Amino acid sequence: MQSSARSSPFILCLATIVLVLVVGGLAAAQEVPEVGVEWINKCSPCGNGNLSHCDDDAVGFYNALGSAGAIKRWNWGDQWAWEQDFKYKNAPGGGTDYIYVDQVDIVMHVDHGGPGVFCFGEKNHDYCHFWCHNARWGDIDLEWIALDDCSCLYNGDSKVFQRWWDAFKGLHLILGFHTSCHDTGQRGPKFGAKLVHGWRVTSAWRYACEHTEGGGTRGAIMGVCGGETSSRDHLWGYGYVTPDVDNPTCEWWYSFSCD
Amino acid sequence: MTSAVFLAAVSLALAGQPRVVAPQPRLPVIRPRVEILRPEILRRLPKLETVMVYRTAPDDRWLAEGLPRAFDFFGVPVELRRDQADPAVRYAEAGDRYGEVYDASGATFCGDMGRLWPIPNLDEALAIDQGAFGRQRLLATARDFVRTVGALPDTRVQTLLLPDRLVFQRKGGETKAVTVSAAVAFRPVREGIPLAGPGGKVKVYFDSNGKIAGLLRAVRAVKPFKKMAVVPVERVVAEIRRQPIRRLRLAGVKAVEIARIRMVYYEDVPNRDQKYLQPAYEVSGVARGAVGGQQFSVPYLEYMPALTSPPEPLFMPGRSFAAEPRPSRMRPPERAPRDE
Repeated sequence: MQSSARSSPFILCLATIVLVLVVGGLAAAQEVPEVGVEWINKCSPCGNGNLSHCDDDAVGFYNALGSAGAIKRWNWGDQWAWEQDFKYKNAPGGGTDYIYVDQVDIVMHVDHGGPGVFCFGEKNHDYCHFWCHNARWGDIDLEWIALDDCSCLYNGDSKVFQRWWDAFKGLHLILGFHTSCHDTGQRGPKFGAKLVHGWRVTSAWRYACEHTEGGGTRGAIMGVCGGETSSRDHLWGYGYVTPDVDNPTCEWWYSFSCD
Repeated sequence: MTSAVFLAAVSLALAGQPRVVAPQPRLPVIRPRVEILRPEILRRLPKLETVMVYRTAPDDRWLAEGLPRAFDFFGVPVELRRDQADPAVRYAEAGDRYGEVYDASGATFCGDMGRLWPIPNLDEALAIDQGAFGRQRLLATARDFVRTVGALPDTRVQTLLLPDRLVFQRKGGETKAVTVSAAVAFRPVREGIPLAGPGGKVKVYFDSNGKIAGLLRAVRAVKPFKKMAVVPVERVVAEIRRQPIRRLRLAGVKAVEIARIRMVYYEDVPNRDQKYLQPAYEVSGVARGAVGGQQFSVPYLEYMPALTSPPEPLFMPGRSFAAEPRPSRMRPPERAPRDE
């Protein structure tokens, strides 16, 4: 009895340590971001001219996050990058975002684009073009998606909300361009480097755009408001992240000049 | 790997993939129609046979004198250390105060990250005094600041006011648009030719109260190298007609309407060891197209090399990365959608 009484503080202490380690480990595990990238340089199978630096952008971004400890889930390029990876399950043709894009925290896509659409170089896995109305992102995991393609967030016709409203099913931010952008190969690594430096996601994107583009280019970002604005987000593990909003009542579109 | 083995490997890899359908024909690559909106834009270009090319280097005078003044203005310590995530950069920070320098170019960025590039919530945005972004006041404040810290190069500059726009939409359609911050950009002009590209600019950023919140100085120091022969603009136009979409990542372009062609000096990204400042033709206008039946028209801008024998490539060369092979089977979902 005496021995048991003496050992109980020790057991309590040990249990506390184990509990702290387990909870701490779980919390740390939740804070490690998961990243996936898709890029296409061989664009001609889908009717667009080939590009040279989409791999530099996407893989540079992927490696910047990976070097800082992020979990590198997938890096698929050219014929291995598929439209269906981005599309929701019940969309026309059926999508697999619930296995790919929506199973990670942050995604970058690099290829040609246009207002509400971005492209692929492979026709055998659904389509050459991903359409905004097939996006239902964040209902599983995805928080941020960078579309390093021209004009995906174009709003010269005031239709950007109409195009992308339904994409926000827990998604926090879409980072992209209002105007055209150029095939520089330097934007992805800069964006990644600033994220893991602890910058807000929006500031990291703007910095990367301003340092790789010049006159005539306007970057753009879309997010959710209502409660908190998702512009306050940092990458997991690097600062505050706003809560998911499954069905936003308010969205915003921000644009800036790279001149 | 022989092609037969490669094909076998690809077939094996594809065996477990979902919904692989029979190979479909490749789409023809679209060749957009190119129209010069006003023929006089070609005639108005000065007929230059040669243009001065400059040797470039980081601006030592700025780094020794201007940078400490700029860092001091924003409260950034001057002891720089290497950025592990971006080895091209040395940086210093104290709380929200951040400053950095690129070794290759001397490009400097500094500011108060707590006030820089704000994207406020709707209520906060509507409370912003739009009078804080008066053109004359911002231009004058920016000019005073860049003169005080010595950020402008010793040459004429072109000045631009660039507002940051934030648009809100509530579900159901009510839309509000406000200016939430702004920047003033200075573009140096050398021998009548403006600098363009990702570099060749000095920018002063203003916060939502119209107060200075940041500075970007991406201007290399230059020394005359020699005059070099220029490609005639007619040849550039012919090249653009043959292939108007070059470095733009723009899909479905059916027509390009060229509204302006001008000669610029192209200053590249700050992490490039760019040894020469060389001229380029900046060709701009509107690209019109359709993707999936949806019409669009967006700004068009391509840079074309302007020298017959460039001393180095106009644009920074890239590397070549390999994509990871996809797994032969789909991995099962780890987490289910919240509504299932």
